[in-house]
Amino acid sequence: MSTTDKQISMRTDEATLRPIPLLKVTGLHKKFCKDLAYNMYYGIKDLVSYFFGLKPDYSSLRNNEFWALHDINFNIYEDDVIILAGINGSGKTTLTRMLAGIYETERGTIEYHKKIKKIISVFAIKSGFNPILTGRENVYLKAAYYGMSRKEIEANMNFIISFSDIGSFLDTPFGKYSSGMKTRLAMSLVLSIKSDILFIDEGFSFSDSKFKAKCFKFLKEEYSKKGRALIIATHRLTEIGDLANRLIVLEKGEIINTTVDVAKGIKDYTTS
Amino acid sequence: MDNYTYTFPKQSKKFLLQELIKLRLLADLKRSLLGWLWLLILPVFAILTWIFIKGAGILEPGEMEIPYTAFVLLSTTIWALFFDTYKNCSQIFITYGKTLLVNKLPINIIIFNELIVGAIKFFVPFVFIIAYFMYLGISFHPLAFIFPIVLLPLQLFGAAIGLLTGLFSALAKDFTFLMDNFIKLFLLLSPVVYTPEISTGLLAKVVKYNPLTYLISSPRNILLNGELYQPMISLICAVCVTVLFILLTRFFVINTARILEREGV
Repeated sequence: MSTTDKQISMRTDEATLRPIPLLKVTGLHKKFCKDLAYNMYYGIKDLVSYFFGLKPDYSSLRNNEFWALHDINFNIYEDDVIILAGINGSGKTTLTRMLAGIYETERGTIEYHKKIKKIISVFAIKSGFNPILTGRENVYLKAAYYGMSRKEIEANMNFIISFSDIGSFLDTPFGKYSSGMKTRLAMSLVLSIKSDILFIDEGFSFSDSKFKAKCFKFLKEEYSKKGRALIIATHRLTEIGDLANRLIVLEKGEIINTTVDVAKGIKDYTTS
Repeated sequence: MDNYTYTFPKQSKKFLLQELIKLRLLADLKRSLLGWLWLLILPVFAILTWIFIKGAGILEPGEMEIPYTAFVLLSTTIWALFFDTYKNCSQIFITYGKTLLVNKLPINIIIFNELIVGAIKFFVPFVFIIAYFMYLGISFHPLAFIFPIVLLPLQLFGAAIGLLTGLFSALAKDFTFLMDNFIKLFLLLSPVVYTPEISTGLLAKVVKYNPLTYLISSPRNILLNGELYQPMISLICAVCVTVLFILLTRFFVINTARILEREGV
């Protein structure tokens, strides 16, 4: 697909949606270095440049650098549930981290609607939980990472206990939990937060299908009807397909397909 | 539409700080059989080492108002605050790297957390020092209550060097090896286990131009005789390291994302 075709297809899809986006990504680029020695050299060189108030050139690639994201353009609208698909190394995590503000935006823009007050990003659902702390202590710690206040998390605690079905294990060290229990607690905490935009990067790679169905049902109710948006970067397209209203496919750091016909998009992607 | 302006909610920063402090202190406590006792045991080991060195005649610490054991205990505890703060700040990307790659956290809160945890870990053995001084019949000067304020620039200096080292070390480990050994060398080039007056020859020059001389001697002197060591130079050093800390904290905060993305590839 040529660049022009891509742009037309994106315009066509997005024209069918509401006109005011919650999030607008324009001309987004990110480059990384594939060689360790060069990575160190460029890192030190750039840091010294910043120290003296100089800005390194982001418009071109240096030796051993590559575009992890190249000219990414798309909008996210109210009630969007978007699947971000692509093989490993296609740029899903990099894009999600940039949208969440974890990585710097040096070239291109990420604009948010003024009404956006809370954004939650989830990367590797169980990360940040400490095995020596109890489940309850971990909920407080992780809630603090998500930018919640003590009052908010205390108000959400009943939901977390009930949704995760952890019961009496809440005051047991997290390290003693089974993998499924860890996931249930971590996911329940995420779902308890009322965010305007929620990014989930590979959050559903667990095997408990009953709990997964419960999560999908909850996400659909919370994010597809209440003026919010959900973006899920995943390989598990068929499982999440029913939840989504849009699909964006990345390949080698570029958007190769964006469509509102999710079922067809998934079929095209998996058979290509 | 606004350019990306999402920031960590202000009202949640205090809660995050409390949780980070709890995590840092509890993690050490829960993983150790003796727990907080190590904060008392380690200074005792340090004292015994220096008493042994002095007893062997290797070191001539100079004229002192108080017994050498008391002097070295106080000095090494003050040094430990500087070194621990340096070490903790230089390891921010090691301690929090994975957390920062998956959560957008305010870096200044993490730096502040390291300062507070460093201060708590300093003041626990310091209570032991007070008890030991009382046992030896040594009394502190009435101006000793300003000791924490006089001590603060030393901690800020440790943090400033640590932050700069941490940024470059995240890119290449060489900076950690270099700075760690450089700082260890400065334990001997600063008046920690001897008084500043004893230094002779080349060491005298190093001690004279070493900011740690003033940042370590002043809080120690405030406790013992209520005076700053060379007040004007101490004051200049305090102002300079405070400005350095503010500038390097800003530099660290601005560049954290750039370092993370290089580490996270």
